[in-house]
Amino acid sequence: MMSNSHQPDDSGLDVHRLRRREKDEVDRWFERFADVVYGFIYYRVGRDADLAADVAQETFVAALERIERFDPQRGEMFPWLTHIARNCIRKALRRRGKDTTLPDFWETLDRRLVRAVTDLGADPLPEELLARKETAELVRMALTNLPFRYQVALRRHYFEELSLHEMAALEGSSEGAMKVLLHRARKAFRTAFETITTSLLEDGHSGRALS
Amino acid sequence: MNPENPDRNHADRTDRNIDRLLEAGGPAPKMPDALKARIRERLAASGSRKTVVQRNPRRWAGWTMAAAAALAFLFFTFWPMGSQAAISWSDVLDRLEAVRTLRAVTSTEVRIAGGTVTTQRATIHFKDPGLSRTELLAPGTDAATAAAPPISITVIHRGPAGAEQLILHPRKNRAERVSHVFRADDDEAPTRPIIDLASESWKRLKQITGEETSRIGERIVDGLPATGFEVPARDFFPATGATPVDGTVRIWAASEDAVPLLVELRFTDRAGREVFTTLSDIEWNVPLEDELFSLIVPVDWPLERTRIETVEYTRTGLAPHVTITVAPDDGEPLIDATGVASLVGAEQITRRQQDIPDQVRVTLELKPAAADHLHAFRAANPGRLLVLDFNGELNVVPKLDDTHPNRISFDLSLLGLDLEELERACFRRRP
Repeated sequence: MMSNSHQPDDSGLDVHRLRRREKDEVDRWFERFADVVYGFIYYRVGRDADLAADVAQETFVAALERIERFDPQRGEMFPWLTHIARNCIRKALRRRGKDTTLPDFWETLDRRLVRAVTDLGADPLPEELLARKETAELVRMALTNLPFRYQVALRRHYFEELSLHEMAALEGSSEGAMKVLLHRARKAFRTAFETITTSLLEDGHSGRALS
Repeated sequence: MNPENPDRNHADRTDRNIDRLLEAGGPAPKMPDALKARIRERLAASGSRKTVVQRNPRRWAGWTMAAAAALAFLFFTFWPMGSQAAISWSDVLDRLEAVRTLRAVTSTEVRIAGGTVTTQRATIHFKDPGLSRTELLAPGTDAATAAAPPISITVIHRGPAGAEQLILHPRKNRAERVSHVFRADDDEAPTRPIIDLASESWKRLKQITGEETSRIGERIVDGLPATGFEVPARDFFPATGATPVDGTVRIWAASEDAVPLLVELRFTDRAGREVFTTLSDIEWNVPLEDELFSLIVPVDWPLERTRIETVEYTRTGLAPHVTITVAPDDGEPLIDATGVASLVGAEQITRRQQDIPDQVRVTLELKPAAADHLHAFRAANPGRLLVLDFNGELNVVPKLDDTHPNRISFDLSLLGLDLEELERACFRRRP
């Protein structure tokens, strides 16, 4: 698994209501995971928006069909959805005659996430590297591989520029808890980013994943 | 650099690099709204027996005037009024429950001597969960063809314990950002204070029960036969200073499939003027892109930031040592602390860019006899000022709340305490 599957995602879902397919809960479930699952799929199908749309639809429909199999005691919703998404991606790529080594490549990356192979602490990153489009894409790609709560926390802090206090208010939590969450999210981002970058460089897959 | 502590230097550099990377990268891609709508439909179709089946999904997603005219022709020609099964309010509620996005136009007219004046027009957008956007247009502007920019654009993101509000002023190229924080002194979630009436009214519309409504007949709306439901305005509107004193809310829903087509509100305001507000050109469940609800301020626009913290007290009261009197200027006290029933709430407004102290306002609930005494005095002495003495430290003019006659609120900013300091110094949690 690429994401830290045991990190809490605090989805607050009522699995019993979801299993009964109660409309409100199904809507809430979908709304909560739509963006993160889409982001997860988008880069794994080579940034093909049409294919990502088909796979995302297939993933959610398949997930709802087999929702009885989801056991919250064994893991959390986002990793479970990404497991289904992976299968859907593989099938979709095969159907379209696309390169099925792309998901294999991602699986390789998943395993490599356990170790950080480059060191962001060595030197300040050069401006020209930060300005490159590929860097921005790698950042987004890394973000899509983080646990749900981390993605939300980083988005609010860096892109919506909310303060810790404001984030706490939206979460119904404390500033201290937000600080811890942000710290963990940044740490997870670092691991994801370094691993993806290094793997791309090592395996020469950057053209396929990013173009 | 700290040559004594290389580990610390390494960690600092890492942190800085991560910050810069994230700032350079931008957010991860989101699922397009049109795709979300499509998947939601698929899930509804494959999921639940309780799912509301869309009998006419194209119209549900937004329909044109041409389609409406064609339907109207069919209705008039082949489908006489009253021949179809009557819809009930619960059918309308089913429709409202299935709404995830809404776009509509609101217009308010006030009747004055010699005619009516349009005082306000706005396009409104809602998207679950908790997003809204209101574009305030110049009176008389056609929302669809307006060439001039709106007077203001307000975007609100609501959460369980707070909200972020961005107000853009396109004609002045400036912006305001208000962060709302809601707090309660018990374990219950705080009641979310009203930030804008449009969102509150939308929420209330979905809470109307069948018992509250009465059917008022049928008429043609946008070329379609529509059934009308009416509810008293005073039951519909949230309690604010703008609450109508008398009036009705009418909801006209398509007789065919219960889709609401038009909402009309007629009421007399506190100044005695007749006001007529409509919600029209309603489009339900249309794809609304996330950019519509962006909190990003255009480059180079000055931004004023304000923080408003609202606290609800149910287990906290004034500390025993705190004294309060309300008296006419240079007169004997009309009430003192024994006339206070409870501490209701407080609000702190912090303006970040301005060098002015925080504004702290407190609201008390008075005992009915004390409140009656104050209102009677004010009615009998309209020219006389009432002054509240807070703990012998500050004299301020209190505000008597017309909506909640037993409540009184007052500004304690001049004490020089922020809200937390005030709570520590003057409030006590009840056992």
